[in-house]
Amino acid sequence: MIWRLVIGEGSIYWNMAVDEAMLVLHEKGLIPNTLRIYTMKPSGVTFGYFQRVYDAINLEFLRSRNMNYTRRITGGGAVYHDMDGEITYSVVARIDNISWDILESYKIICQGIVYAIEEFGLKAEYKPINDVLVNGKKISGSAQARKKHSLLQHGTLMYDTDLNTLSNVIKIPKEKMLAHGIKSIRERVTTLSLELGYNPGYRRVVSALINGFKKALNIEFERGELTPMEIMYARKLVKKYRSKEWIFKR
Amino acid sequence: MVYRSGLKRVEGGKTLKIDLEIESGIIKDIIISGDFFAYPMEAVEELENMLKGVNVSDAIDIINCFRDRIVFIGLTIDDIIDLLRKILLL
Repeated sequence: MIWRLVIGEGSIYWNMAVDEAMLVLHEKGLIPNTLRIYTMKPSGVTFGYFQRVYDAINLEFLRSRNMNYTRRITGGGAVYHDMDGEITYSVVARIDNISWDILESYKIICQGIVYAIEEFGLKAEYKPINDVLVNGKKISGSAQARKKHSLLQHGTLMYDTDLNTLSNVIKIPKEKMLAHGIKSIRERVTTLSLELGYNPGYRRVVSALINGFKKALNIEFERGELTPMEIMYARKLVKKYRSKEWIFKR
Repeated sequence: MVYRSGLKRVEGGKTLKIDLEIESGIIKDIIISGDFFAYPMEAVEELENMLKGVNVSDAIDIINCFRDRIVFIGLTIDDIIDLLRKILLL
């Protein structure tokens, strides 16, 4: 099976808008199964659909740094997207082509990340529901939304994320820290740089991700671009992702 | 108006928080939040809307009606019921 591969960059608002546009248009049968790999420029924070903004992120810090933040259409927790150290992926596909079982579909897609990390000679493991760990520490998180026939799963791979900023922008309830037996976020997360002892760099991580998803999904890629329809729809959706109504909805 | 709030970390799962506004035994507002997943996503807001204006003693029955309508990942509908009971001291 051949999927489209789209590589890009943009603000968190633009990228969240493109992901949603792709899910909606895929559901209508208007675009093919796609892997999109992108960086958030400038760096920003996204948080889960069901999270309360004041519980999930440190607004004071974000405002003091003039950093962007928005709510995703997917569940899960808050994510710091470091433009110099994190790559985001999104998979848009027919549920038929992945799995109707939700947990199974997380596992299948997250396996692409596991294989990508293994390209660097590291051992990675998928940890249900939506995490990938290296040496017991989180290096990647994913979140999935579904329509009737199509799914969108997007997620992160941290290769050189500034973990100081990460721990400043994301709030973790103390109950969650206790459950993980940690005192700070920093104890629970890692990056490819930290594990390898050198920064593998954006290009190598992108190509590892492409290979990883090829292997995990048993597919080939054809490099493509977003269609005018996707761009037009995403332009409309950007307004939502920038709006107070959406961001402060909960 | 009484404001009540509770948080539960589901073992092996996600974090659930419920914020409630109650006036004379009636739920004025409820927000079910956290880092969990729910399919379909809109069903959580539907549930919240159904619970608004309802007597607190009927809340559990209403949540039970959603048992087959929402698939939660990272928690179960019983976690929501448990936490609500704890908050309402039922």
